[in-house]
Amino acid sequence: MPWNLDSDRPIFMQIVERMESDIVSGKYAPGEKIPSVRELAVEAAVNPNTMQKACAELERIGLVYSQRTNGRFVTEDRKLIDRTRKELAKSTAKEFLKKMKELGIDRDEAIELL
Amino acid sequence: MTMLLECKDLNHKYGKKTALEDISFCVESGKIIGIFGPNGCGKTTLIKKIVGLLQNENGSILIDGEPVGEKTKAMVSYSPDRPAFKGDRKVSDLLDFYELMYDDFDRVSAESAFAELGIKTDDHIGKMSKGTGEKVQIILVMSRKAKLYVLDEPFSGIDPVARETVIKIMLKNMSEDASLILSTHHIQETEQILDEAIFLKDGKLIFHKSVEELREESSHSLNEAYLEVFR
Amino acid sequence: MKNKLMKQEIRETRKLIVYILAYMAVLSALTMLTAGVAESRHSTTASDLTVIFMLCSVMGVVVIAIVMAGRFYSLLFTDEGLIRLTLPVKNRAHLQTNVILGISVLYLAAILLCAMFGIMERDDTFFGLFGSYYEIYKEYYSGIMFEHVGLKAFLTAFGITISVATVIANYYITFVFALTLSRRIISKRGIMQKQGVIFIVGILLFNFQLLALWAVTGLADRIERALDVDLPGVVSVESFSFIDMLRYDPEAYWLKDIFFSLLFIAVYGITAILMYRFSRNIMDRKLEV
Repeated sequence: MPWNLDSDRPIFMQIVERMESDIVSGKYAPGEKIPSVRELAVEAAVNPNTMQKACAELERIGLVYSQRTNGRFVTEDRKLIDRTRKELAKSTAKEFLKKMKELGIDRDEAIELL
Repeated sequence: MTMLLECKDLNHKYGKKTALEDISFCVESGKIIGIFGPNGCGKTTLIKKIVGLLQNENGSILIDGEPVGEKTKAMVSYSPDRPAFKGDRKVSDLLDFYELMYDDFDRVSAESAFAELGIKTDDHIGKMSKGTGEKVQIILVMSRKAKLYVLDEPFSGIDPVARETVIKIMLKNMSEDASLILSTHHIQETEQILDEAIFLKDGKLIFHKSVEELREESSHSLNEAYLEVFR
Repeated sequence: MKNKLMKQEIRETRKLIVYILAYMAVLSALTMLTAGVAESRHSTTASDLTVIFMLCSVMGVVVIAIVMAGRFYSLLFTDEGLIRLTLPVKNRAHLQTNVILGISVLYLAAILLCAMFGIMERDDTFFGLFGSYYEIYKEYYSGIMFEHVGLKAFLTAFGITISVATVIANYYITFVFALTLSRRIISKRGIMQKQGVIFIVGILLFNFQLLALWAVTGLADRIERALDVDLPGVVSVESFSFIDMLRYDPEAYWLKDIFFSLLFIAVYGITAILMYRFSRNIMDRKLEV
């Protein structure tokens, strides 16, 4: 299945987000090898250059690291993964609250709803 | 960055009708470029110039530094906008043909791609559905380790599932450092695989941008940009 | 790369060629049989059948040319041309391979035809020619040609062979040239009536050559009359006919026959070369699909 991506936001950001959540959710376990850029690009049906850029970004953040010949692996730094998880959770919560606000529901009402 | 394809001041006329007017652009290696525009805007004419089916009298086209000719034809893998092989051929005949004619043809990879899609090599082209015929053509073209792939309307007349398959075949088989140019009307379905997009209108090049930059700068999808230009 | 193209062409046409040659072989066997019966039993039915079989085998040669030229058209000037003309060869290579293969198959068929007529041989008629011809080659190969049949007879026969070969090659190249030229006219003018253009161009080309031949003989004839001399080999336009050329009587006609052969070779050879060069130019510089 191609990934569900919006075409009005940079694809590479969306791929990074998607990969982050895959790592955080444990789809790719810490220390696990992730597929090659080409394989990921085919799976997601996106441009290989964009996928390359996204992987480089993940590397920069530190969620994955590359071994010269073997490919890329998910970091074993669980603290970093936890931190990323919290950040993702935070931004999702913010997003949720923003949407609620658009519907005219304030923070307390939203918490009540939950 | 090395320029794989350089087109300069391309012009073409069919009788008195102008089909291309002063088209200039470059394509770096390792990129996927989409050519878009309404019917009759010159997409196929431009592609035919690049692959050497139309004579090029005024402007210049260089592919990897070579003018269009025998040498560039060996580097370019081209799929026409309609199924071109006569129906009496079997898939295996086409494999033989490509294997003999192109040194860079990878028969094993083509055969495995056919097997994956359940296309038998002793099937006749004429008895296939349109979509299957298109898949056969794309597999053959993408099984070459070419420097430049040129696909004219690779998705015409095939269903969404087949389209997805074709896109995957393209991404999977494209050799590294190679570029791919495709012309299509399916913007939404292809924009995620593109690096750059070119819009043609009445034979003129009116837009050539990086798709990702377009999204970053104006948070526009390519489809929106297209509608803005042509509406 | 050109060799690869040739290999591919042979691969695609070999079945066809085998069928054609089998057809010719069967026909020659039948002709021999009926001719034998016609001769030994004086049967009119058998001799009628012989004529029909011979016409059939001549038609075989015509069909070969049509099929090969048809291949040229359908491989290059229909959708398949999109694939063929993007192969890594010069466009002219497609022309070369098709012309070489087409003419070779035609020659092969013609040789079969000659062999067939040669086996029937005897008497001094149209078919007798081939019979004597067969004799000449038989003698030639056993090394006593000159003493046995004489230089004049050999030259006559040889001249006729070469001129027939030239005419066959010319005939095929005319087909191919008619196709390329029509294609050029169609793509330049944007004419949709393809078949019509091909028909007109083809007819014009075939007739043009006959006219050229007629003009050359006519000119020689006039010079002869104007000078009031009998130039060797020159015959009047009125007596210009195939049978005249093919009459086999080396002592009486050898000079005339050789002159005719040379004329044929010149007119048909030069037009064939010109047409081939034109087609090559169109293929390389002007072809647009």
